[in-house]
Amino acid sequence: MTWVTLGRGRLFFVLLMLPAVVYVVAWRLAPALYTIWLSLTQYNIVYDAAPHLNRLENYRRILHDGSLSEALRLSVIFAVIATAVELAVGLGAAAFFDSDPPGRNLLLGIFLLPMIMAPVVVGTVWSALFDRTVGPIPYLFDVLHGPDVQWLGTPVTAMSGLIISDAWEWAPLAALLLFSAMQTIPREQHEAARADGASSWQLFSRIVLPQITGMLVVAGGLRLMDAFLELDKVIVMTGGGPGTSTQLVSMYIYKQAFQAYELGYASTVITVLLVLLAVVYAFYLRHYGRMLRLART
Amino acid sequence: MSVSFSLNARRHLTVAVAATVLVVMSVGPLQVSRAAGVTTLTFLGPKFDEWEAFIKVANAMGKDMGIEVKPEYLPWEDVFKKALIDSKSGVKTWDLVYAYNTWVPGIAASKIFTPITDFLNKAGNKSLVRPDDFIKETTAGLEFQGKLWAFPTLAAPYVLGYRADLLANTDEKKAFRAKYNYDLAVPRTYKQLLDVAQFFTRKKGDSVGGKAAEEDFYGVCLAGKSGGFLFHRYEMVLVAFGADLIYNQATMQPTVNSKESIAAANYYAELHKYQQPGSETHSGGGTQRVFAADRCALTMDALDNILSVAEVPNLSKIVGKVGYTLLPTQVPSRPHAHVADANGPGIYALSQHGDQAFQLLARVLSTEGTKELMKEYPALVPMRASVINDPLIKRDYPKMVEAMNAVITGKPWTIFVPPLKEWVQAQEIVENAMSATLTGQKTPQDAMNEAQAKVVELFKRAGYIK
Repeated sequence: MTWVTLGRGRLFFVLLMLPAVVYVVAWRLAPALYTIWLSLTQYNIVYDAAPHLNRLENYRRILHDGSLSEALRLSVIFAVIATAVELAVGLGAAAFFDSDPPGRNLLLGIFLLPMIMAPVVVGTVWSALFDRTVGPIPYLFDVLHGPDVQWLGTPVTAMSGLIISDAWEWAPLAALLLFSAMQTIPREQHEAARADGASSWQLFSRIVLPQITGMLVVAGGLRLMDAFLELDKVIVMTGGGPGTSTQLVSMYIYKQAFQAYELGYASTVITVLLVLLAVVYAFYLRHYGRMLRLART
Repeated sequence: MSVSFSLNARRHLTVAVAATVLVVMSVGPLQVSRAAGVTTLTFLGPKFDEWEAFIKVANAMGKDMGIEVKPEYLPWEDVFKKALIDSKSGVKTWDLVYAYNTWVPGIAASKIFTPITDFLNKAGNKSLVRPDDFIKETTAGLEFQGKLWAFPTLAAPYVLGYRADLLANTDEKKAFRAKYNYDLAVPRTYKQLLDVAQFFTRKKGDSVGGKAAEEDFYGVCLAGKSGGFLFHRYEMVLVAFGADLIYNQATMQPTVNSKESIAAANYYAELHKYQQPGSETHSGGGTQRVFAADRCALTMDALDNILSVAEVPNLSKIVGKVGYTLLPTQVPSRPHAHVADANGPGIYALSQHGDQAFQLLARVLSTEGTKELMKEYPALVPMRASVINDPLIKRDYPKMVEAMNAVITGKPWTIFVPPLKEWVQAQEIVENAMSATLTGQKTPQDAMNEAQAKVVELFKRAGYIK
């Protein structure tokens, strides 16, 4: 059906489309456009009565902002390692659940619990677990005569702590997606492979893995983009420290907007980040099929 | 077909519009409930014990004034943000809003509050409040451009808390004398503070005051969390060593890597060796929990922070064992130097009940009201001389009175954070540099050189320097 053939139904068509259009414009497009406009202004919400245009000054500032490039570097490191850990743990857990262990549903339910917790709660929980004076993890290391690790006190361990907490929260999502993909593989294929004398590793690498590669790429893509923008746990667990060693890009933007109240500059960073992510996402979508084919071969 | 479509569409549209109207009506603008004859004031503040006590006393004292107070608690650092954003959006929900002295320039610039001075200038209000009764050393931080922006409630002078029992222990004294060649006593200089902190840093099982330590014992407990906690402790040392607070206020030149600043940074890094581990994640309250768990010999913190934990029997193993004195001295021209804190509620500029809010504050924060407040929150450090000098207060709160008298009579060199628009950014730059130093990422000199370059860039961008 085309616009021309709709005839008197055009009004109804417009009415039906209106909520979606209003939603996209009001909820998505307008704030994005407002942010882009703000990015061209000098606006300190405390001291400036209103935003005033400063042309491309904020964009020029970005080019020389060492703290921002450092935050971007840290975000990439965090996102890549956290996603890799989550996929590895998720894959292992999915394979375990796919082997139909006794009490599978109960175990699966328990395993998925962290995923439904608010990130700020996850941050608080891990903050307490790593606490040097009352935390069980340092205590365990002490009892087992392990090294004296200052979990959130040094740059490397603080980043590791964040990655561990993120993996704890989101590995269940990867597991859930991969488990559902594994469940779609016909059992006959397992039985046939077994009958042909395939080992467990051969069964996994030759039968299961090629058929869940699509989901692996999807889970990886989803987690990578989400982890790149991590904020809540950073605020709760490290505040971006020690120094700026865990100041991821979201934390950097948050500080610009809500500690320095530089809404203009924060909007510029958001705009640039939006463009960068859009490019990466477009690349991901474009090459998704090719990645799949490559993985399968 | 098209007729039935349009009929259906019309019916659906009607239902949708009706549902929307119902939802809007049921949610509506949030209005303060007002029972007959009772005015409800709203309070926006942090969920700290003292402000919960304030609400309790305000509701008790407000009853016969026909006023009740409903609190909305947020994390401390979010209170200003919330008030600011609400004020910019024209939200009229609030009447009373908590303020901290470093926020005052921002509050004044963005006109979030109506100055208390404006109310004091109305007939009869000055005699009601008696502003001359406020202790001047504590209230300056709430003043800006000649106006008082929040009602002085809780002072937070920084003091040195020390384990009086350990410092008086004969065996410890003997061992200290043998090691340092002078007598163990309450530290009067930062050199002595470092020695005492080093001396009392012990391993689990070592003797501390004649008893085997159940856990590792540390020389000094200091908060080191990013977000202001670390900087706030470090700035005490910074000013004591004769350095500027980040920049020279006369020339606007940043001085983060001045000789004095580097000396202070080196000292703080050295002191850090004798601090509780994990201090990077400890706020003031968290640090005082460690001190109160009998795990440190010394602490430097806001007086009420220490009192609210160390002197509370169900929280502390060291009740009655702590002495309080002024911070040590490094440079003679700045005796017991410290950067002061002050807290109090202000009156939200868009409040619909400004006069009633002022009347309530005047009553709750009067001499009698403050005494009631102290019953609910015994760690409160009052900002009224009449309260400190009250015989009953002297009897019931000897530790607080002792410390406040030390502040009043000792005349410490006191400074408040400068009213600089970019203060938060500048502070964060230096705090990050200090944090990088404490975690061994950079030397104090390198960290402060980098911080200096960043503050210079910040000041250039702001147009203060070329």
